[in-house]
Amino acid sequence: MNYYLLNILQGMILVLLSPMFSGILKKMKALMRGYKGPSVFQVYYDLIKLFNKETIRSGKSSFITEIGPLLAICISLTCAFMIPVFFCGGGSPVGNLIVIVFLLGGIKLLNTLLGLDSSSTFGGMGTSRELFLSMLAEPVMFLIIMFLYFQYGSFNIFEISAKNSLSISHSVGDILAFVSFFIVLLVENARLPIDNPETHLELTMIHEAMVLDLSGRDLALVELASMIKFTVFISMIANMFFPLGIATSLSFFLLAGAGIFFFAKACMILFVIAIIEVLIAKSRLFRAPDLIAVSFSLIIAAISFNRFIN
Amino acid sequence: MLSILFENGIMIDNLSMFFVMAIILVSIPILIYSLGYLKEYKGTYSVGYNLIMTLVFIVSMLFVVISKDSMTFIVFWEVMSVSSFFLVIYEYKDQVNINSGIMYLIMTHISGFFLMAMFAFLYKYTGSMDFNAIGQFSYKITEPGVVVIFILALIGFGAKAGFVPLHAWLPKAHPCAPSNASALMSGLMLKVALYGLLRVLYFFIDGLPLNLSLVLLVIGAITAIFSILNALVQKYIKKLLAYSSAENIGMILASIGLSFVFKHYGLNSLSLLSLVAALFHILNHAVFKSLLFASAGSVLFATGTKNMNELGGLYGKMKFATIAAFIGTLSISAIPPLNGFASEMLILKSFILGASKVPDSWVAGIIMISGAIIALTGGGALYAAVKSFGITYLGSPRSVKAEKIHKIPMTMKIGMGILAAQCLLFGIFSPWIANSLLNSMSTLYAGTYINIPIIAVNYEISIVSGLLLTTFLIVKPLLKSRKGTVLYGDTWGCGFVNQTSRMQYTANALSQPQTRLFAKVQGYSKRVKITSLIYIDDKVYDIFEKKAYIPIVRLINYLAEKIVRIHLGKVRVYVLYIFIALGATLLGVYRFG
Repeated sequence: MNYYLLNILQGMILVLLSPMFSGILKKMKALMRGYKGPSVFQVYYDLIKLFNKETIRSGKSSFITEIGPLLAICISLTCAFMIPVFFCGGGSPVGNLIVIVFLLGGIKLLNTLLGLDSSSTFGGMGTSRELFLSMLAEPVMFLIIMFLYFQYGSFNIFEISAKNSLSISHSVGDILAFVSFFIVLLVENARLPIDNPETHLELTMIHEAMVLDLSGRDLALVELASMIKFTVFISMIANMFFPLGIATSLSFFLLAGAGIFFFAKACMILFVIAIIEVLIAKSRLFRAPDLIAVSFSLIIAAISFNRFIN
Repeated sequence: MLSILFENGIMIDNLSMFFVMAIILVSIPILIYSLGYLKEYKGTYSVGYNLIMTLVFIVSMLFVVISKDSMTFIVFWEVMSVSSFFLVIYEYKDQVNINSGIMYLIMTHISGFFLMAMFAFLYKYTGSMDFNAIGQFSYKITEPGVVVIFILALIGFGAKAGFVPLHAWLPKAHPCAPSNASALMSGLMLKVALYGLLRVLYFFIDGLPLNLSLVLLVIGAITAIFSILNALVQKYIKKLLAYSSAENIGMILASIGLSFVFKHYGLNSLSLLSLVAALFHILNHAVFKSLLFASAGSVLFATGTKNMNELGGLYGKMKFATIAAFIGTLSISAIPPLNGFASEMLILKSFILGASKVPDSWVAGIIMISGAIIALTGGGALYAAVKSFGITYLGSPRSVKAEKIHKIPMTMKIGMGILAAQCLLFGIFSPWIANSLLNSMSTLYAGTYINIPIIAVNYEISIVSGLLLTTFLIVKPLLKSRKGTVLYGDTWGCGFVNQTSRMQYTANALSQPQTRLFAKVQGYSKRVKITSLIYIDDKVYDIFEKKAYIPIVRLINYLAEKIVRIHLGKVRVYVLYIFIALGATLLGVYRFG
């Protein structure tokens, strides 16, 4: 019972931290570019502001705009409770990777429908681009799950990270799979080089285009859902591939240490993303499949190392 | 006559029982739906004719899955084919429908021909037409016999189920049939063909060789990916749905093939798991695909057009149908906790388990690549589902047809409501269904193999749906209490005020990006003409139809023209022909009999 409470607690912490992670990323990028940048808590203020504003919807919109943001936030909250953050001992009845990946696909589906809902041209653009890229990313995600099953004999992310935290050395396969998953993270969360999250340039945007017609509370919910999704991905990548320091038993010091470790690991991943976003320009839409192909080849190589060569 | 049939002709085991259940679960809501839907045809076509043919169609499907010997099976199989043919050409005044109907009839005869040959071969080896007896004496079938029977069954059932390259009738016949019939054909008839395949491969052949199992797996994967890519570029809803049916059939076939691969290696529990995954997907696909065909039918009923480029903004006028279609869309794009996800998860799981447990590396490699293809198919299915739902129901009307619409009768809503409820229930309670299927199918293995480790699907999906519901119940009131009003205004046009519905993305536009990669497979070509206005003209054809079917038809026409010359119109010559034919037959019997 304690374990379940702890799982719920770490899910809540993840949800509360997720806007801050976006803030930290923005701050890092600002510092690298040589300006001061907004405070890391600015994202919270923005969300609160949006929550309290009036909501304007397009007169042509349907029930998708009414319930879409609500369903998206519910799905992302559910995902947050299904993954380990700093504690993976005791296991969990939920946490099947296939379920998590398809649940996150639900957010994608709702976003793409939101894009078509308000009958704006931009929405359609975003929708078709997002679907195009995520369709190609699907097999990579499947092979990553397959790789993890080969390696740790489980679909449950809690068990994977508990088993992985015991192993000391990392094989070549692990590193390749990590890079592959990292590319999927960039694709699924609309980061550079796939999509530039900072601009509102109609010709290039993907995620922003779909939510262009939302405002006020609806926008806050969809944005929060995307932030939680981003944090869930970060937490997954940190705990599946480098679960160093994750707590496997209940003790206050271990838990506190694990929390700090998690924060440090997340900041490192954010740092890498920040470097990429500062250095690289957005690529053409039709160059993005090349990146996904790289990720696909990496995971095939990783599986070959671990399954077929040994 | 009937009593003889019931005493000797029928047999019910677990496999038949499962298909009977699927047929009943889907056909009852569709029958209710038909009552309202057929009002559209009043005055132009006979309503009674359609209802009677639909009933004959359903009953014949029921008898196919419970028939006990080859004769009964073939007779009801043909009744099923012919009654569905009459449903396809129901709107006979349109020449297009007659053409696709004839194509369907030819394919269905090819299927029937190969099946008769297959049963003849089974009779040759086992000396019986009774299914139980064939199963008993299956050890008598020689190795080349297995290959011959396998090929005959694959073509015979494949022509009906729509395995690539025998799928070409599917996207032609389904859009032509009235929607209640296409729901039944797509939801059930294709599955009845799969029942036949399962019956022959599981019961009549004693252990399928590894190579043949891999053939099933690979054909399944190719069918899945080819069909979904073609579905993506269609602009007619029902055509898109028909291709997507072929895609799901491909996934099921791949899973069945996987099951035989495992059986070959003696991994019985895995074999059972992927068989159950296939069966469960058969049930789920039957439910959500008939729901989607029914809602496509309601769009047709309300607007009179199937072309998505003319639709849009239907939500305002048909709320219930839209929500039912939304549930179907969630289900077909495999979003937890709906039923489409429940079985797709089992299929993906068995692929992963298979790639890790199969001892031969090259087989594991094939399983891995097929699994990746199935996953890509899943991504494509999401794309196609968003396209068919988003363009049809959301946004604003793209033509006058979508603005002036008829009200949908209550019975249609009830039919769709029942199917939508089934989508939800089969998803949330999927662990129980999957486990009882596992139990009932394990008898298939109990005869020859004793040690079946107990496997069960865990209750994760149900727990997740509980979690989703809980968060929904917590979050919703939290948001209610917030102050803040909702205003309605124009869609934001980036400073441009005269937005029209022509500026929205169309169905063709939405699937543009991926044609850059897959145009060759989709037979997609586009031409842009710039004068004072810009015209875009894009065409899609089925590459198998163009590259394989049409040449074959030409060849047959050519040969027929040559053969016609032997008709000299003189009785003596015809007597000579009869004599030669008799002689050849006698020689054949003497030589091979």
